[in-house]
Amino acid sequence: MDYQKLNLNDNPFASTPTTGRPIWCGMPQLKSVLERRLEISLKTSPTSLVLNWGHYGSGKTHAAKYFASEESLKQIALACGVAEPPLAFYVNFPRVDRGAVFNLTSSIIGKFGVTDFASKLQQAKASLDKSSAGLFARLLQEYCEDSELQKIFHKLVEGNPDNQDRIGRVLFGNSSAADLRDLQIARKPDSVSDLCRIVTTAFNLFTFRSQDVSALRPAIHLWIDEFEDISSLSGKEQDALAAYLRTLVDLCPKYLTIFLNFTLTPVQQLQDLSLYLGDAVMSRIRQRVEFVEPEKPEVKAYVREMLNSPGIRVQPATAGNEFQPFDAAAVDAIVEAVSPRTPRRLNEVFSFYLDLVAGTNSVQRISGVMVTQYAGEIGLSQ
Amino acid sequence: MKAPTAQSCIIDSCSLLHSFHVQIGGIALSDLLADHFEVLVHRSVIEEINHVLRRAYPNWRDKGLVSEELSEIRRRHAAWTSTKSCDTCLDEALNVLEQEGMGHLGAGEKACVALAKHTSDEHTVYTLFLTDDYDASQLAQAVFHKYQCGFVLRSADLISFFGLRFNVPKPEIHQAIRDLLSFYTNAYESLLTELKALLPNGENSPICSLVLRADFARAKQSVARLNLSPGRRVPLACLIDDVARLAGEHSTIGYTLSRLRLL
Repeated sequence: MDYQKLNLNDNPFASTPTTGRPIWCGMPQLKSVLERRLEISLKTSPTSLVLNWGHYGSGKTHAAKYFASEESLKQIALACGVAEPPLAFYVNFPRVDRGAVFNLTSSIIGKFGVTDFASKLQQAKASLDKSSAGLFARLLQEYCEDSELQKIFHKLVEGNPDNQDRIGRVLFGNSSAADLRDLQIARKPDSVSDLCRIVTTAFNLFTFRSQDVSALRPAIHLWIDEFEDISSLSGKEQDALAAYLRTLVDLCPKYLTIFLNFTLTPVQQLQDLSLYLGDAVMSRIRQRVEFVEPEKPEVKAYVREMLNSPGIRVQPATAGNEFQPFDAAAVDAIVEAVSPRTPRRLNEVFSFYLDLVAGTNSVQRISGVMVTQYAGEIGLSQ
Repeated sequence: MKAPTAQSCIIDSCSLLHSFHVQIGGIALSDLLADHFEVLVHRSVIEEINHVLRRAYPNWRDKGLVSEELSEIRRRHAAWTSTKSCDTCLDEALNVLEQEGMGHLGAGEKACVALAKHTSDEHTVYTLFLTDDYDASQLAQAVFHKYQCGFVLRSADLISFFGLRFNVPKPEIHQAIRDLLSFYTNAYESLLTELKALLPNGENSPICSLVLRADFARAKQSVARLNLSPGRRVPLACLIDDVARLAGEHSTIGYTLSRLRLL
């Protein structure tokens, strides 16, 4: 594709969130609501559940990836006067091959990797024990309760590289009897409660603070995408997942924010979520963030920002020419006809026209006439 | 314990298939049905469930909805249906149904409604027809009303019925209905996957967005406008109809969800 002739290095309208550092364009109100929620998580202590909901393509996955990125969190932490950014995890709704709860735990630990998980725990131990000898062990006992689970943490902070693979297998549920024997652990952690304890103990240790101890991280953010998939699990799995979320909040009562991304589907509306999660979890939801369709002026702002986002332009667009290669009439025609006005749909349509001119010789502008001419092909109402 | 004059109950293939995997108070719905009703399963339904099971099983297994092997499930089906299979000639009743505009229903559904009418005529009883298919239930209701031969029930109704009669704790009844729902939700997702595969641009097609927003009428209009061969357009339109039947406002999933909300 020849985007250069359009004064573009690439097509910015990827129809699904791209890999790499995500950028945010348009929809300032939504961004501000989410930023405010993240700031609250840094300025207050209670753990909270946040429900992000909207239609398919309304930008929930993008928001999760954007706000789970270290760069975005550093900026928010800086604005709040907090030295370290929160520790954020973006995980997809767990698959069920080995149970939803088990897979969710594996996803969280997998985001660290065993080496990083161990290293963070070692940092937490060093900081805690520096303040008071044996504090780590005391906190571990308080958070973990179960002696066999405590052994796993003790092995992790020992820092013995020979044990790391074995502990990894224990954490990911693949341990053999020989692994358990070598680590001197009497049983596999495999119940909902065990898995929850492992995750919450780590979260509690990472965020512990006192007069003498600064927290390793100010807060933990857990983004679970595609949460609407809960309806396709069996009733038993749904209950296990709901119990897991409830226990996660109860065992980690401070500094944790869980964001559930929920897409409305024909088979599931927002009120139906309570059928699966039950009152106990629903009552713990502190905020519901609706991902609404942007209004027409917001759509224009979104398109303008996308076309001029960092690294996209070959040369900065001149004043009054920010929509290049789209004519004003073309943008107006698309904004008027596009439905639904979700970011995904906008990306599809603008991407279609960009690729059309990029692949056509001697055409460098997208006019209103051209939009109308090809409207049928991309499903725009005429 | 079956009542001395248990009511006749005719089951369609999808409802029968799922009844083996939904438990109320620790007992499979299929067993409760067998114990409390005079269950009749037409031969064409038995043929259908073999076919449907083979297609649905891998997905059920992947999603953790069943843990048994396919052969085990087949054995259970065979043992259960062996005493309930019915080969009655239904030509006369089927002719009546054709005149009532039920010709477009599947063979199994037509056989069920015809069997219900035949049983009612033969034994002077009201029969029950268990189906979760919305279209079939609507058409059957009209026929039953006209000829006064029976009633239509859905699986979610029966789960509630048995749960309430046997004082099963509410969370267990709730879980049983959610189990049933998860089978239909998975069927919906499978249809959606098929639809995406057939659509030009797949998931990025605007038609996909319309279907996901339950705007089935506009989705079908858009399919009609697509530059596609009839060989591709017709299956696409049929798939959208299937999704609507399963997930639309008046649909299998819609009804089951409403039952769940009533609990």
